[in-house]
Formats: sequence, C-alpha cells, structure tokens
Amino acid sequence: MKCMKRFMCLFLIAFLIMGLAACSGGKGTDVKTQAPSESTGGGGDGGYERIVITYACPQVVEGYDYNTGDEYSKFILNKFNIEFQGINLPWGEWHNMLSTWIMSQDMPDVAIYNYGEGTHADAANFVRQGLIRRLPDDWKKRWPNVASVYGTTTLGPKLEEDYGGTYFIPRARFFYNLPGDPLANHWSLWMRADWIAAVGKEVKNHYTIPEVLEIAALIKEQDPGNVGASLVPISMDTSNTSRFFLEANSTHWNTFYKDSTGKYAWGAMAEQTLEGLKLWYKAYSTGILDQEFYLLTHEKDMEKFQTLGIAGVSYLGGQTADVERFRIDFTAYTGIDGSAFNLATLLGTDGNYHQRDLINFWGAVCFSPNSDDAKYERWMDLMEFTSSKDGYPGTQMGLKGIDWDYDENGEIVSLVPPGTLLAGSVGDAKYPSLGHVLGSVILWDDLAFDNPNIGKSFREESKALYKNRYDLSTPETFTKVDWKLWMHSTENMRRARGIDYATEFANMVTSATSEANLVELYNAWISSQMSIIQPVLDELNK
Amino acid sequence: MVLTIKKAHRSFHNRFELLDAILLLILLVLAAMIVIPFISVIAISFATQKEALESPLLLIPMKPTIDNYYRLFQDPRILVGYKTTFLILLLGVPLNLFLTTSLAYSLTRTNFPGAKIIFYAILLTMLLNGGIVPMYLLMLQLGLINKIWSVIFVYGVNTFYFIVMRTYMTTLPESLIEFAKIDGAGEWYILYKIIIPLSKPIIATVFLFYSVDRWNEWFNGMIFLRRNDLIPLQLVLRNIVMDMSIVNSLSIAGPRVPRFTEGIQNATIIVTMVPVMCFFPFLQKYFVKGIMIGAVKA
Amino acid sequence: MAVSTGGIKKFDFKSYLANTGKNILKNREKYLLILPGLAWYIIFAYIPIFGLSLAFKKYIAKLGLFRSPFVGLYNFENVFADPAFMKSIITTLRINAGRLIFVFPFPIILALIFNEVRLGKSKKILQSIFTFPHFLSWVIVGSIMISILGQRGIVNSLLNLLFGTQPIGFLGTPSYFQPLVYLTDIWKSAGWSAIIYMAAISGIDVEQYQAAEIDGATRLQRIWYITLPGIKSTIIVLFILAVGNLMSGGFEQIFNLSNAATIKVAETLDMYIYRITFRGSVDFSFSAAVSLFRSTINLLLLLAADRIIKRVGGTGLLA
Repeated sequence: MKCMKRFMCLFLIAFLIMGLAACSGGKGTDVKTQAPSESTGGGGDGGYERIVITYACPQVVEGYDYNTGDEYSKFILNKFNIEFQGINLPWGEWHNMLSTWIMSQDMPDVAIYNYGEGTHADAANFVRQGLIRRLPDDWKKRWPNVASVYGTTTLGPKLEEDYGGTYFIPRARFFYNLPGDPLANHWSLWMRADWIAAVGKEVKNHYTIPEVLEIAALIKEQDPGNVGASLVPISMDTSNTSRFFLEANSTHWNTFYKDSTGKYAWGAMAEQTLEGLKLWYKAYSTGILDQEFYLLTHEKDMEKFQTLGIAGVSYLGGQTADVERFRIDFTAYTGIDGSAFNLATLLGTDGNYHQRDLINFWGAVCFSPNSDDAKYERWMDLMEFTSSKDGYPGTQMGLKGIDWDYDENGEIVSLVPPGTLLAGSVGDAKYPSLGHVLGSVILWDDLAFDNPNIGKSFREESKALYKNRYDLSTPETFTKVDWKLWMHSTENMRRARGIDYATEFANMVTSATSEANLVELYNAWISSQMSIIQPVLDELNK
Repeated sequence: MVLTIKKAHRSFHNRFELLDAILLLILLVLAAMIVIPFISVIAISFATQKEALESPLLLIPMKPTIDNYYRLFQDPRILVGYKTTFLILLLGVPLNLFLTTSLAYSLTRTNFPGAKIIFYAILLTMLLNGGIVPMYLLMLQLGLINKIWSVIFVYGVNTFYFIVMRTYMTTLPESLIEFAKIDGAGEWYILYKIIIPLSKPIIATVFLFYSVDRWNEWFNGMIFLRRNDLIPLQLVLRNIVMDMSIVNSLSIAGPRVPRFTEGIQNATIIVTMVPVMCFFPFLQKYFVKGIMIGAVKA
Repeated sequence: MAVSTGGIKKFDFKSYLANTGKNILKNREKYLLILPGLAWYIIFAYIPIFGLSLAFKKYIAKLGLFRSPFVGLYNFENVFADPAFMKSIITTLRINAGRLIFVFPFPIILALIFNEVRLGKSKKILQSIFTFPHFLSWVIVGSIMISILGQRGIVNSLLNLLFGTQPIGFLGTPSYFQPLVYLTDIWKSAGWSAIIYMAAISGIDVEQYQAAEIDGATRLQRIWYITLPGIKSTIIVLFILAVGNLMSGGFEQIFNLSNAATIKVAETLDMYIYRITFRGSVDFSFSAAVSLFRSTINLLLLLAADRIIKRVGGTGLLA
C-alpha cells in the first residue's frame, strides 16, 4: 500500500508539472523557431514579408522541420520568405481527414486534395458550398508557368469549365516529357528473361496474354531455374491479377462505356471481360497462377519475384524513376544479373494495348477560403518558380550549381558523385525535403526521363515501353477520358462505384469447379448486380 | 465500532490433486499455442526480409539483425511519440479513473431521484455515436483543436468499464456503508477510505485497461492534433509502417527503397508491448483472492 | 407516494414532490459525486450525439449541424437500396451471435482455471503470457495465420509429412471462415478478457470457501456453488453488453482474415461500409444513417437481453 501511495504521489506531481507544461504550449510553439529566421521582414526575392503557411499532404515528413532541415528546403523557403508548417496526412486516411477539416471550415492554408473519379463528387460539393478558395480570373496571367503546366493536365481546364472558375490546380505527372494523350500508365510485365530464353521463347518488350501464359506453362513444366516446389510461374495478388487478365484485355472491365451504337453499357458484361476471366480460371486451375494469389498482401507478389527470385512473371509498376533501381535491388537480393530482369508491355488477346486514360495529374492543390490572400499568392509564387525550367529539376535534384546544372546543350547534368542519394528519408538522403511537398506542380515522372542519375539505357527502355503502348493500340482500346462519365456523381453512381470488381471476379475464379461453372457464376453475378447497374445506365442514357 | 478488513490466508489442503495436473496441462498447452507464434513475431522483427520470406514460420533467425529496430528508433518522430504518449497517460489516466470511480460508486444504489435516468442515459451513450464531424466541430468550438486537452477529454469515461466497475461495487456489502454513515461519514470519505480499498482488484483492472487504451490510441491524435511536436506513439509507429507499404500504383516519390514492412511492423508491436508488460506485474498482485474478509466487527 | 383509501391507490402529487425534495437533500453529496462524470458525458458524449441528426438531414457545412435542411428518410432509402446491405446485416448477426456462444465462455473458463490451479510465483508469469496476443494487431495475426494454415504453412507441411496429403487451402475455403474467426478471437482475447473475471473472483468472500471446505465440498463443487455464483453479476453484465454490441465490432479481424475467396461469407456491416466508402465519397449523412440504424438494433437487442435475463432470474444490468 505504501508503495502504491508513493507511486501515486509521484504520478500526481508529474501530472501537475506536465499539466502546467501542456497549458503553456499553445499555438505559438507549433514549429521550432529557436534559430532566428534569416529575414524577418522584407526578405527573400522581391522583398517578401515573412509569412506563415500551413500545408497538408501525405508526403510531409512528420517531425521534420522544413525550415531548417536541409539546404534545399532552406533555400526555397527563404527565397519566398515562408515559415512552413507541414501537416502530414496519413495515406489511408488522406481523403477522410482532409474532408473532415474542409467540412469543418478548418482546412490548412494549402492542401493537396486526392482528386479522382470517386472523390470528385465531394470536391464538387465543397466547391458548391464555398469551402475552397476560388482563384481570381486573371491568375493565369499572373502565374504563367503554373498555367501552362495546368493546361496539360486535362483535368484542370475541364474542372474550370464545370465549376465556372479555378478551384483546384492538379499537379502534372508529365510536362516536358509527356508521352502522349491519352496518358499511358507505367504498369508492366516483370519477367525472367533468362527463363524465357531457356524455354525457347523470344525475349521482347511486349507480349499478349496468351503468349505470357504459354511461357508460364513452359516455365512450370521445365523449371529452368531449378527452384523446386516453391516455384510460382506467375506471381500476382488479387488486384494485379485482375489487371493482367481483365484490364489488359477489356478496357472498360470495371466501369461504364459508350459502345459502338453510342449508348452506354456496362464493361463487366463485355465479351472481352468474360474472355479474360476464362483465361484467368484456366491459369489458376492449371497451377500457373499462384494458388494462393488471393492471400498476397503488401506487395508479397513482388517479393516473390524480386527478393526471392522464385517467380517467372509478375505484373507491377514500371515507373521510369525506378526502372534502374528494380534491377539493382533484384541483383542485391538474388545475386542474379540485372539483365535477367525484363520489362514488357502486356497486350490483350486482340494484340492491342488496353487502358483508360491515366489523366496527366496526381493530386490537386487547393487553398483555404479563410486565409489571407497573401498566403495563397505567396504559394503560387513558389509554384511559379518550381514549374520554371530553372526551378523544377531542383525539386528532385537539389541545388542548381551545386548538385546539378544545365550544360551547353540544355541537358541536365549531375554535379555530384554517382550513387549519391539526394532524395530519400532522413538519415539516408542529402535532402530529405525533396519530393512534392515544397510546391511541385510537375511531379517525379517527368524528370525521370532527363535525370542523369538514372542510367541512360534504362531511360531509353522506359521510353520504348511508353511508345509501344501508343503504337500497339487503337483509340477504342486505349481511350481518352469520357468526362460525362467521370464526373457523373448521382447516388446511384456512388453505389455502383462501391463494387469491388477485382474481388468479385477473383471470388468467381476460386469458387468455380469448371469453366462451365465459371460462366454460370459469372452470369449469376451479372444479374445480381443489375439492380445497382441499371439505374446508372438509365441515367447515362437519358 | 471497528471495521476490520484483513487479508486472508489460504488454508486449504496442500495435496496436488489430479485436477491440478489436468488444469496445468491444459494451461501449458494453451500457453504453448500462444508462445510459439509469438516467438515467430519476435523472430521476424529481428530478421532480414529474405530470411523471413523463405521460411513459413520463422522461429530463430540464422542471420539476426537489429535493422528493423534501428530504422524505427532512428526516425526523429519516435521521441516525439514517446513524449506525447507519456503526456497523454499522465494527464488522461487519472482523469479517467477519477471520473469512472466517482460515477461508479455513486450509482451503485439507484434509489435516489434521477439515479435510474442518469444510469440509462450513460448506458445509451455506448450505443449511440455521432461520428467524427460533430466531435471535431465541438472541439473547434471549445478551442481545443491542436491542444493536447482535446485528446485527453475526448476519452473521459469508457462506459463499459464504468458498468463493470459499478457491478463489482454492487457486490460490496451494504452494511459496511450503512455503518459508516451512522458513524457520520460523508460520501467522499466513504469512497476514499472504504470503497476504494475494497475495490482494489477492479480499480487495478480498470487502471490497466485505461492505461493500455491511452497507450494504444492514435486516431484521436491524428484528427485533433496537427502539430509536429504532439504525435502519439502509436500514430508515429503506424505512419512509419504505412510509409513503407505504399503500393507501387501511386507512382510517387522517386527512389523506392524496398523496405521490410513486416519486420518493422513486428518491431513496432514489440516496442509497444514491452513497456506494458513491465507495468503489468505491479497490478497483478491486486488480483489475489481474499481482498476482503467481510468482517464487520461491532 | 400512494395513499390508499379503501383499496384504491390515489397518487398524491404533493407528498411525492415533498418526498423527492427530501430525498434530493438527503443525497446531496451523491449528486456532487456524480457531477464531474455527468458533466463529461453531457459535453463530450451527448452533444456530439446530436450529430446523428445528420441521418435525417443534408449536411451543408456553412449552415452547420443545426440549420442544415431536413430531408426525412431520404438517406435511409439510399442505405436500404443496396441488397448487399441487408446481406451484410445478416452476416454480422450470424458471426457475432456465434461469438456469444463459442467465444464468450472462454475467458470465464480461463479465469476459473487460473483461480484453481496452484503454481505459486509462476502463475503470474503464465497469466502475463496469456495476455500477449491481445497486443498483436489483426494484421499480424493475419500473417501468422498464413504461416500456420497457408498452403505452404506449418499445418499443411505436417499433414503432408504424416499422411502425404496435398495442401489444403484452409484460408481460402468459405466454410472454414467462421470457425477461423472464433478460434483466432479466443486465441487473441481470452487471456485479456479473463482479467476482468479474475478481478471479480478476487472479490469473493474467502470465508465462504472455508465454510464450504468444512462442510466437505469438493473442489469442483466449490467452483460451481461459490465461485461461479460469486461472479454471476459480472458474467451477466458482460453478456448483456456483448448482446448490445451484436451489430458492431470485429472489423479489423474480419478485414485481415478474409480474402477474395472467402469474401462472400465474410462481408459484415463494417466491411460493407468500408467497401462503399473506400473508393471516395465521405458522405456524413450516409454514415450517420447507417450508424443510427445500427445503434437502434443494438439498443433493441440490449433491452431484450436485459429483460430476458431478468425473467430467467438474473439481476439484469441495473442491479
């Protein structure tokens, strides 16, 4: 009892002390401002007044003081005399949290909104209720660089038209190196070139689904790598499997589309969808596809290929920025030379590449209607710089003149020893602040094509992959955005969007006892969904 | 009159019966079923990605590494996490206990006006939840957004614990309280000098539960706090793990350094558990039988 | 206070008031005790509950909660329009009712065993061990389950070794899902939930045991006639509360243990809501409508359980 008493006394004292401490810590101690800021009044370029800006996005490194963290962040924040307060939005809660704040009229000065087909309805709602700042009508004249990047995003101008004003500035994936319109996705086949060669097949950079399946079957039969029982010819999780068999074969497998008669139809009912589904079942039942593909989570499918080296084929991201890195890691883990790692485009059974426009944006900048004009203007100035030719490489490569520069031909050259990690996490990288956080309007994907720190051959490989997606498709298989559909946001549509296609189709494949049974399950499912789908079709076809 | 409460001694027979053997066996088997997967969790936290992937159930890593823990602790947020959570514990748990105990005791007998209504009103809150937006707006109105007090006050009483504590207190003999009242004792005195000492097991239990709840909470901190120096530990850990398991499809921040998500995840579990398990033995002594021999000596 | 006049009870309002007044005065200290807790409930529990009114409104941020326009049952129509919604309700009830039968008794049994067994100091260590799984997140438990029951897992390897069988996809078979839920729930929570029962057992008057021993009762008889009745009120209360939670809870577990192959038997209400809201819209009115619907069912179940138990002779929630 005495022990307990003493414990409680200590607790109470600590409690009181902490209580006092907590009370005194108010809004003022948000950010470490121990070191006096470089220029308190009229500093930076163009005589700016010091200003505090709160900014929220998922990539803000929590606990990292951008104002003093590294030379790049210091450079850019001082240039515009900004005191930066970053707020991290956890990935899984990005939309929920930001929406809660917006709805409560308590959003930060600047925020990145997770714009997409599913979140458009909420954004429109916010705009309608005046919860997002409307940019002045002359903003494009005042910030021309931002305006020209904005123009390539397709979404930006479309929203402007719809809303009657600019509320969101989508950030562009590509600007200088835009592969084309519609924008191709980077999802690619990862394949073991050494095994393909060993079973007597050609190593190239595009394959149709049946070709891949044939190769996988041969790999299963012959096991050229001598892996043994744990060999997984095709290693993919539920989501990637649906991309492989359905998306790559049937462009509109999980949405609506305008068919050849000009009426809207449901993509899940299209012939090619069922065709892909049958191939999926065949691969699963003959053991070519990982028998427990539905259990794979958290990129375990990738691990089987890249870390363990026991998979022949996978279908994963192939973004230019990482293309070299994939090989380096592969070799580091498996000891196998990087040349055994082949990237390729996946084509449908009709020999065409199938995809819906990725749309040249990711995340959209928006501003609070309740903060001072000076704040959004300052941030726009910052973005004007980061979208200029002088400013934009810095967002990924650090300081001009120190880490990189333009040579006589206008190409970017690296001024640091190869292998220097410029961007990355605290403790690893030279400039942990590098990324999209500090006002990027042009994102990583673009610079990857020009980044001297990535081997030229890899950049060329990536360019070739993007190119063959355009060459090997038709406007019907590789489609531009149907804005009417994209922006359709009635209650019925919202309900229809809730269908988890990948899971539903995967369930059919795992439950089916034969191909005939699969078709039965498929038809039964289609009919069961009509009560949700038909109202939407009626709305669209009105 | 004297109230005597003394600790009991177990004066049972000391033979080791068959029943004991059976019970012991059952317990050991169950314990093994718990310990073995747990060893696996610890093992993975000390293993490399390759090794963990290769064996179905890793128990002893051949090439142990503290890399996962290192990555956790080198993150600057960890210190902030510990500080914040300790603050939450120090401010929150006493509040929780105070509110819960006073409510539980005072509503033990519901024979006074309004008691029943209040009890049912409290019960109702367990079933109805207004959602996060009204709570956020309330905090905004109270000016508590971005202050630690928002997190402290949003979890004041856990109705479930309140009910459990109250139920326990109803088993305490009324005669004790009656006698104290006759002696002229006030409610606070009764609560402090009689009820609490007799309710040590349940208070220790609820103390443990509240402490663990506070230790584990992250959601409230995420919504109500936007400061870099106030992030609950669990939220820090959660974010560290999340940062690593970002799916390729997002095509974001450049060099994707592959990380061993599972290893770090397991390390966070161990890091979370260890302090609690150090704390637990102190409370176990209150789960001893014979806290009270109903002895009311006139 | 009733005043009987020849068998007919008349309600005497005046003396009722007077008595109540006296009662309030007599118990004034009690009210002071209640005050802090009650204040908390009013501010932080009841005021936000008004948010549930959103279920009947269309939320317009600038008008706030109170002035947003009333739309009647519109939101509920949306909720019920999807056949998957009703299906998820049934799945939830099915899974959680089973929990009451299969999972609920375990912590009690465990607490009884701990109470009876004689181990001295090592008892504490054993008790601590049983609480370990409580700290594991369901994500990790999901991974552990794959290591144990996956096609390349321990159980299948053993079966292959002993009987030469082909790998069985335990985790991908819908009929195994429900048992899996219960087994993992027991594994994870029995030790922790047993703590409450152990605390309750500690409060039992030791003299009763001594008296019983003198009377010649066996250990099993002592458990049945003293220990169990001694914690009866705790058991009943926890049971009723569990019934009152029949429509909620278990999301993390179901989410991490289910997969594309077993989804059809695993879509509970929480899973349904997650699926609907995951791809975008944060419709607060919709969430409020679902929440209100769920709470109403829970409330009805709770009251029913309370009443039934009182009928059967127990003490109910309000002892």
